[in-house]
Amino acid sequence: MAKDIVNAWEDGRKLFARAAGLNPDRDRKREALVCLGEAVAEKRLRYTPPFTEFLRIQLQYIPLFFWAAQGFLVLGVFLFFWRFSGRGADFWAYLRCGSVAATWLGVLCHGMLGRHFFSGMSELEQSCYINLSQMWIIRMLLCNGMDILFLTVIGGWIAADTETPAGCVMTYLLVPFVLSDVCCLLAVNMSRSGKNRFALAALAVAMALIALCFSAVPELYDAACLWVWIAVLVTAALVFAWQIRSCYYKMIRGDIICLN
Amino acid sequence: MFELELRNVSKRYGSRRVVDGVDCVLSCGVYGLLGANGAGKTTLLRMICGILETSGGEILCEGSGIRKLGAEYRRLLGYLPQNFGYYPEFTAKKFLWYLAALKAIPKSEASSKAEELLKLVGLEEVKDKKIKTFSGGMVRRLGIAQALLGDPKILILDEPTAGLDPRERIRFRNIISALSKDRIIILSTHIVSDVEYIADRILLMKDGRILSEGGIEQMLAKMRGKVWECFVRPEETESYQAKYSVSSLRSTDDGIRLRIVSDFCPVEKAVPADPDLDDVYLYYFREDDKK
Repeated sequence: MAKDIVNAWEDGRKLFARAAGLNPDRDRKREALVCLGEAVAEKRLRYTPPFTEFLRIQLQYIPLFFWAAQGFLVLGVFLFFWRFSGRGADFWAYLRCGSVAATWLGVLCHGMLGRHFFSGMSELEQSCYINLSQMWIIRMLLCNGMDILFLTVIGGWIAADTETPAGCVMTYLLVPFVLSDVCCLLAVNMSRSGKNRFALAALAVAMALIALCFSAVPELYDAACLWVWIAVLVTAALVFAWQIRSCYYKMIRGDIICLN
Repeated sequence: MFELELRNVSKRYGSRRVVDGVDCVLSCGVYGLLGANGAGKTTLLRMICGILETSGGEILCEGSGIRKLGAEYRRLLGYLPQNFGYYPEFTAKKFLWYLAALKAIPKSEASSKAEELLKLVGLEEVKDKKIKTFSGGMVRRLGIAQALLGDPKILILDEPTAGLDPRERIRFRNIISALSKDRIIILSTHIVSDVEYIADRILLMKDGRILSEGGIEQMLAKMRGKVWECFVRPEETESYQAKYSVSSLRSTDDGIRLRIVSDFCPVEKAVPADPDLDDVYLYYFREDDKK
């Protein structure tokens, strides 16, 4: 091995020594440089945005309406909680408010995501370097991540104020949230026309009413029923994950972009 | 030379074949994709853009499958869809910035490029106005501008002149002609005059297949001896129209002058006429009973 390296070094040295005595052909050198220059000029400099840039673009172009609606909802819930905060706070009032907010968070998220389809931009966006399927997944993660963070905060607040186990409260809040996600994604998938906005608005009202009806039956929140809530949450989460996967592949194939 | 190759490309929806075994090699230049509504033009363009998966065959860019190339292929694309959507609350400038971001154009370049393109399509004055206030023609022009972002090597324009007035059409033709040197431009339309002035080659598409491909001169040469002009009495017009493909009909002092596209002389006194692209279109897209 060492001998090979020494030999290669010697060969290289001899080659350079021989080259020192050579006189380059100036004309051919110039021609070669011109060719190289042309080849370099033909090359297109490509900019590949880092992931942080990708996230920044997503956040920058999320519509103002979404941020405003999300802000109002979060503020409304915090004001409501602040009003009821303190000793002896009513668990049912908290739960009602939290459940309704959870359903609306899902509707808002899908309203924002469905906008690509409602506005007819999906086809164009899918042809871009950062395409719709990538944007959709990133926005879905961003949006649902923020929502879950918010639900965790209010879940913690309820648990602390009402001395209820935090795990139970989170389950009660996540069930309407995930179910709302499932229904909204189904609605967006069924029709991608502009009229779907009204379907989502109707869904927001319906989901809120269902959440209110559930929280009006205290027996459903007995410790004995907790396993049912957990089962519903797990099932809904699995269905939601399957829906996202199916939607993603439909987008890649172009099925839900080119057909309506 | 930069090339895009379509090998036996097809698209099926259930049992219906929308695109049926399209084979062609596209190199730099302007291609006019002509065909009637429902011929499969938009589906073919969507497949070329990689938006729609093919049911069979493959599309190769410089020898590599476009699906495999993924984002690197999309980077070469400029696309104007037939149904060009937009976010109504965006201004023209913001819309181009947004698409520049999606096309991975550095922020520093995006602003100047957007200004330059808005000027090119004549929307400089309204760059800060919301798109929802734009007319149909202005929206279309914005669509053309966004397709040109990033200096694409493959420019695909689906019905680009729909909704443009004659002056805007001329401006569009000039823009495309100026761009045609070092890129592939595919222009889909059913308006013959759109491609007549700017296309180097024409692809005629019918029922999902490419019926004929060639340069305009080549197409016109093939049509020699298939276009006839004759004068008929007004009461005979209807029967001629029913029997032959009539490309024009004009009332004159000598009677009705008919221009007929037919493989054989339709009437004894008919004289051969110089074909134009409208005749070519009519010849290939005539009804089956008018052969």
